[in-house]
Amino acid sequence: MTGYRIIALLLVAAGLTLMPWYALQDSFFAFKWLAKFAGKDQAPALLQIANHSKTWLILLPVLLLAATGLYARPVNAAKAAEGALRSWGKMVVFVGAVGGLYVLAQGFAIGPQGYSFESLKATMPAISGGQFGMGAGAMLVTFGFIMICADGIASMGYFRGDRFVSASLLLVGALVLMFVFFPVARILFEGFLDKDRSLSVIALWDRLAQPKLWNLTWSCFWGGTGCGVAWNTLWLALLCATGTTFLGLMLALIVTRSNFRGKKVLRLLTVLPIITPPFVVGLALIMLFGRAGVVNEFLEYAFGIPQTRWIYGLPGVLLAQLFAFTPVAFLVLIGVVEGVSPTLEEASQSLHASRWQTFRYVSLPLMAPGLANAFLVGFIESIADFGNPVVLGGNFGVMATEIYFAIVGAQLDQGKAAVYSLILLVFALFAFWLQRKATARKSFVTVSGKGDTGLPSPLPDGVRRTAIFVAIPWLALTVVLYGMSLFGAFVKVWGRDHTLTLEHFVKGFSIDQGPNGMLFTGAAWHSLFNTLQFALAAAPLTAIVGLLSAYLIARTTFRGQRAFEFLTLLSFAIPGTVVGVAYIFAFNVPPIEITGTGLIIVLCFIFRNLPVGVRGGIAALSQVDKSLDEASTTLGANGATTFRRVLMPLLKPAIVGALIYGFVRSMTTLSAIIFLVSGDTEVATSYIIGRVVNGDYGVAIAYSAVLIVIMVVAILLVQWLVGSRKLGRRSAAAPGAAIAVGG
Amino acid sequence: MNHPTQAPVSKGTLEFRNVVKDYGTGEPAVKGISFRIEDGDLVTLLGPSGCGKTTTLRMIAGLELPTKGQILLGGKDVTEKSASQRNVSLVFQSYALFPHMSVMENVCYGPTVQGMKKPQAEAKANDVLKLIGLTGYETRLPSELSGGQQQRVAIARALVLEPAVLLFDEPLSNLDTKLRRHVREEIRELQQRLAITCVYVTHDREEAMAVSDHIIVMNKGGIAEAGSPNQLYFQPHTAFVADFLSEANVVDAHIALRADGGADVALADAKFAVAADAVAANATKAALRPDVFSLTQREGDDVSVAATVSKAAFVGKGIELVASTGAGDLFVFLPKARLTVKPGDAIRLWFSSSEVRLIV
Repeated sequence: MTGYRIIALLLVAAGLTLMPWYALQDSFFAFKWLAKFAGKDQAPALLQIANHSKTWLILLPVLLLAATGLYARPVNAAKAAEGALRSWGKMVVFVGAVGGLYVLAQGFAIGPQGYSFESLKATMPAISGGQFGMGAGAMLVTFGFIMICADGIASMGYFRGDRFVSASLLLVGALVLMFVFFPVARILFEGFLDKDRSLSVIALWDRLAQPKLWNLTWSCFWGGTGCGVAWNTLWLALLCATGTTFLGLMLALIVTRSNFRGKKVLRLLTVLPIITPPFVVGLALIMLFGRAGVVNEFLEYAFGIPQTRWIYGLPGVLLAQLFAFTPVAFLVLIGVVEGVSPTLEEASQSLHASRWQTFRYVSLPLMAPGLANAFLVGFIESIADFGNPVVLGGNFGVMATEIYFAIVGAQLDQGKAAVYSLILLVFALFAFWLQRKATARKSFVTVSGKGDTGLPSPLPDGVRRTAIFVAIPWLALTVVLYGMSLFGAFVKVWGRDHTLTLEHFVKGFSIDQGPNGMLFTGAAWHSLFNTLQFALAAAPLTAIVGLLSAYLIARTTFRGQRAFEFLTLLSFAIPGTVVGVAYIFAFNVPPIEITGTGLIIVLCFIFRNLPVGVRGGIAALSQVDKSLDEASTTLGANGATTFRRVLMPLLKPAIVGALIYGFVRSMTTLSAIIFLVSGDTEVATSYIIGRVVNGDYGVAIAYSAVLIVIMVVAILLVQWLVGSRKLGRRSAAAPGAAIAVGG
Repeated sequence: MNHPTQAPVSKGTLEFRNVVKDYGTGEPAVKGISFRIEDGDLVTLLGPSGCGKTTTLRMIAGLELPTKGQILLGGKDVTEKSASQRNVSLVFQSYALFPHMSVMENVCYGPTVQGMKKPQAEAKANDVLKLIGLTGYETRLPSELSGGQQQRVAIARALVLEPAVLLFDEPLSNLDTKLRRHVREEIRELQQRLAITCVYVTHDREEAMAVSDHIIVMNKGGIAEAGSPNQLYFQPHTAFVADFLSEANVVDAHIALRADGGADVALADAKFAVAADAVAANATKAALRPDVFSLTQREGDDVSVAATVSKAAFVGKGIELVASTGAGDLFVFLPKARLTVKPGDAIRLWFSSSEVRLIV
């Protein structure tokens, strides 16, 4: 028996006999369950069957025996008759698939009060008692059965007999279905439930057709009050996406196509949005333009203009979002602008086109897909944004904040939250669809493998002036904003008492000398340690799942590949707010009952950041010539060996990127997490929002500053640790890279 | 399927039986080809780009699986075997050396992933590196080698597994012109020394003729003709091969078959007879290589055709003419000649009727 099969069998066996089958009240890693190994809540599956009348689990040990029996008599492909291996494989697939699906099915079918559905009570044999959420044992068993099923599929000859590929696909597929697709489907279901929790289309219609959502007057376009929340959200998102795309393009053009002196500083800005915790921009805007803000104070002092509240509402939120998300668009568009081949622009010029004509008719159309992409990113960031509207929104309500108050606030209207989430989801998917449609037929691959020499054409004067005119104030304001927010951390009360102080840091991060060593007495330590712990757990998992998905998408072929790719990228199009709500609905009840735990937060981090890992992986893989995989295969290596010995070393930079991104994004994310934290699992961003809501800006800003420092240190540390050994990849891969399989 | 019992086939024999590869995008890439390559031969798949030669090579390697048909290696059916299960090695066009591994690690990769212990693998690798003349380069990274050296590493990496069949995918295309002749001689020499079956893909007819025992000329997913370089060059059967291998002039001619299999031919004002072995079945056209002509009658020249020079160019090795005749334009190469004619001149082109092939 091969190692793979032994491991699969052992996983199932261990899951059935050694691990607690059900989820524990306390942490698995506290290992208190070892003391009460046979207890009703702690017992593994076999003891649950024997002692606690969980008779329905009996099928699982039976399936384990069946699998062991099949593996004990493997079919020798070389000697057996044609088809024997295939039918043996079929049986293995059957055992594995039934095992994995049965664990899930019994979990859904039997809840704490016995059968979950009336129809089952009538038809199925009576059972005594019920069960709670599944735990470590169930997880191992499912994992083992998936491995067995994948082995069978490979034995049947699919995936060229490579079970590394089939196992990766099944595992990643199962995870993505469970933690991306299922929660979203669950929300859809929730929207149809009426007050008595029975299905009704009318309930959905009632919630959809509220004037609070769709009320529309002309004044809505400049921030009037009393407008539908849905319109507010949509209008804000369109403005934000247009603005960030325009600003991002201008900045990208300056950085790549001009001799502007501040280019280096501008490039640095691309890092900002990733390491900036959500409220920093909003808070800084309040310090600047708020009622007690610097600008208003000055205007009143100098010109007697009374202080106004214009910043609260559409203008303020839009401004904050522009500052927060323009760097994201900038980051996307730098790559796009650099991707426009200078040769094409030189060709245009040699055909006597002016600079403006070259820009308008050659460069800009080539950038169109990238612009659509940047627009999409801006749109989705805006509708998902929770931090800025909650700080600056005032009476200007958006969907994200409404959803939050529906879940957390006094209304406690889950159905409303579900329907609002659905609307957000429709907006997002519609934008996603539009972007795909807009770019589908225009896949301009302008970077050819051949040496692409030539100088980028200089910008037309008009464009260059506009760009510089936009960039300088933007740069200046950003510096002011960040400077202010940093300064704010060191003054007593912003706007009233500007005495310099460290008291905010002391309040959050004081360390006292206790009798048994250091005591982290500061109020923020708890959430900071939580955040670090969750982020550190999520980052490597994100990288692994992301790279595996990228490998499956870019390097293998199977039916349903497009659907698989769409699923892995789907969570990119789902606003964080929606993800948060969806996770509550999906994982609040057995069989997967993990709300309030750290696990749900880690899972949320992983699948929120997955699309970036996948895209990064695909991009990195496209740099590695496919002939390297093929060379490895012809030399006798299987998929796993090729992945480990050839691809992984070459993808090191991409892995580091995914690790850093996963870590840093996890530390600053808010919109999804806000719904998932509990007192025990409070994280940095949720702690900060608590302070903001209380008007305790000093601590909030001080904490943000600490986070930024930690993230910068982490980025530098990882880069230093992993290093970036330059590989002479060009000479080996480049010659054939651009040549498709011809001949 | 029902095959008569055969004598044991040696391990390097490769056979294709009605192999089809259809990607499902219009025309199949390979439309039902059959051939047999004997142990120890070097056979070239030659053809223009898009003819299916690389697809065929990748099917031999197991990187593509055929849609229909059978592939036999050493007499055993390997049609369904994946690349890692076939005793076949491929030298990639791009070499596909692992850039993060040294020369030694690259060469050892195959043996170690198949479970050989490191010391044995290194001993084997050393043997092969010695054979190929790369001793002393073991610790270099591929990026620190010249193009020719990289290629040798690629060959060493393929050879170390002692494959039954060694495949080359356009191995010279990334080398500069001067190096090409040298490397192709080396490949041929090595192949003959090891007596290993090789399949070689190229679109360069000179390269193909220089290295091969046999050439399989492919066109539009099928086999146009197969044979030794001599046969294909001097006695083509189809217009495609005549044109592709020797740039022969393929012109319409009046052909009257004789009872002995030969034919009487009228080509513009030239009338002559050809022997039976120069007539392909159902022949309708005459093929004349550019180098068979002369402006004056040489020994053996027995026919001439009247022509008018329409283009003339000196190319160093000789002169190239385009001459219009009653049967159409002829492309003529006169070796070691100097430019003595100019467009508009009336000339007679002499040739030997034994050089004419009647083809389909």
